[in-house]
Amino acid sequence: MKEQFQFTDKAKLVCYIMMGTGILGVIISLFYGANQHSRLWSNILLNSYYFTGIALGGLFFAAAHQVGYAGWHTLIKRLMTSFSTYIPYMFGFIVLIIIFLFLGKTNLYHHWVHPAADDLIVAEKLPFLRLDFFTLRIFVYFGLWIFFMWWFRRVEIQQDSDGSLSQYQKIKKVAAIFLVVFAVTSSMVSWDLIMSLDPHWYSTLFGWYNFASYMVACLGFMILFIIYLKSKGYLKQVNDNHIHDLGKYMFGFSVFYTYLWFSQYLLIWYGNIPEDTAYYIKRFDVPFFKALFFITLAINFVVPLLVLMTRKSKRTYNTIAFMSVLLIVGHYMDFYLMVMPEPNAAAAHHGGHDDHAMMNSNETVLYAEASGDQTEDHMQADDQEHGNAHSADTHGHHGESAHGHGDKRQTYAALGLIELFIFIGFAGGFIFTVLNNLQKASLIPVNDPYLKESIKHHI
Amino acid sequence: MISSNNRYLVGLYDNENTLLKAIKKIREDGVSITDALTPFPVHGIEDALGLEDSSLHKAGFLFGLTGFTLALALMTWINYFNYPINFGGKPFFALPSFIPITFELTVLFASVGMVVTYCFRNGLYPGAIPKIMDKRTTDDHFALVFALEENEEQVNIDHINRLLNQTGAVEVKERVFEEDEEIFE
Repeated sequence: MKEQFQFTDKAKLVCYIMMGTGILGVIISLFYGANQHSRLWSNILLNSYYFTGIALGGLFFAAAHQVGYAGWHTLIKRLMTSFSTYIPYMFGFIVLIIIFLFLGKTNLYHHWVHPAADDLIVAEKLPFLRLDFFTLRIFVYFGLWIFFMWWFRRVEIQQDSDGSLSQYQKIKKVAAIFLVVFAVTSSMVSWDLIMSLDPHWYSTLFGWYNFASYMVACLGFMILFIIYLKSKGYLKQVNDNHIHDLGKYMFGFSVFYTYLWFSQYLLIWYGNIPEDTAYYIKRFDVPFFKALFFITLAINFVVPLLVLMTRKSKRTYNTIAFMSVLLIVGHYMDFYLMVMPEPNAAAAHHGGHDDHAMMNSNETVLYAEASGDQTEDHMQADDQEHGNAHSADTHGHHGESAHGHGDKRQTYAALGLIELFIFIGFAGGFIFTVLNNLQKASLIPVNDPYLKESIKHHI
Repeated sequence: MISSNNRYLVGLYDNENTLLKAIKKIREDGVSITDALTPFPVHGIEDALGLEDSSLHKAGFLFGLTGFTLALALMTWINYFNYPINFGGKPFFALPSFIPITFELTVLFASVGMVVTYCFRNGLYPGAIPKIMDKRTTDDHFALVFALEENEEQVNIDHINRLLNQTGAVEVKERVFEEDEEIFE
């Protein structure tokens, strides 16, 4: 019954090569020095946040099923919890970012680390967004997660040698407490790490939206790992039904993600309040981001909706593996759009001033193209109103971008080899950590009371 | 599926394990089973009966597509072509604000359409007279049903009869429905 996974040298070599590729990506990105190496730092932030989410997603998934008295997932439970062992490494990268923030060597979070004097919106938020308080919060979140990861896995592995039910009862308690902690911290970390990149803007469902996004990627990785392990002759009892269930989750979370994505977009589009629309303006003014915006929506919603809907596609390993890869890439691009525009803005050296000016004059932009004369009048009035507050230079710039031609908003962000290499590096580290932790214990929780239910799982 | 046939052979079993084994044995002998009636869903019975995947979900997709198209077309026609009104400076073709209604109508069409299709395909339309093989199939008995022709050869009937008895049926009976049978005795 006990199954011991062997992490072969060949697999290790592949992981080392992937991690080496990541280091190569970092080295290449050092040649792009704009905005204090913003391209490098935003990539590190993006990937460490993305993989923190994926790692946390594994623990959340195991905990939620544990609390819900689920049985079917028992065979793959070890895999889920071993995802979470990547959290400490991601913490290391975030700490690195924090150190460089203290040294003043990176422009991430420059809006509130070095607030502009006339930036009244940020001034109000400074009591919360202070570097020392920020550091404390990050340490608390990661401390809690690492603690629960360690606790959960310890009790779970103890269960292998202890046949009694007491460990099972204990995991249930750990899982229940973790879920409460996770609900609060997963939401707050998204404000701290991602939303505060542009503190002028806020969205009340941002945490949920982020959660749905990395949860899809987490399920994608889970399916890929299972298919890999099965191809190596492990997890023989995991059958089509388990894959089918994970596929259903992936489909469901894709739709849930779109629901939240759209809830955020619709309210901002309809309300059309400058402080809300600022977020989307930054993504629509740059053609590259705008294209990515719609590609992301197509990959993350339309494709899974149409492909994963049928029963057969969820039970065909090739289809589901392809969809997993596609969705992992799609949700990477979704986070890319959240992170990249802000630190890589070419005008970022103006500090908060530029954004502040933009916020006052952009309110018509979202629908300026579509509704003709009336909006243009409105916009001109708006420009006159605010025009004297800012330099003629800034004024002209916004007048043009509002008309939809001439994209003066420049960015240093790109989707090139650097992004690909650094992502591969992080993914290689993730695969290495997960496989390395899988071989530390039996692949199957042999004493779990629900094991038989999982083996007999049939839908 | 129970069709327009009026003559059936019914074998009753008293537990689902015997039933599953019986289905396997009978199908191996080349006799086709018309239907299996169970008081609760039995795991693996679809595979054992060799049932093909229902095409109900395809109907559901088409119903959903109908609702989707109808909602978008109607709102576009009203708001853009027929009676354009300026709402808060939004464009007349305000796609984001159409989406919630489109979604609702898609769901409504798909769900109602599937329920209606399901009921009609299973002969549950208003005024339909259900063919009840045995009342105990809603309580503690499992039935295998074989449709018989009006002039079915006695050899075949005997063959099925023997198979049912061999596989542990607690009761075997022939059920003939009259045109105007009183169903609620």
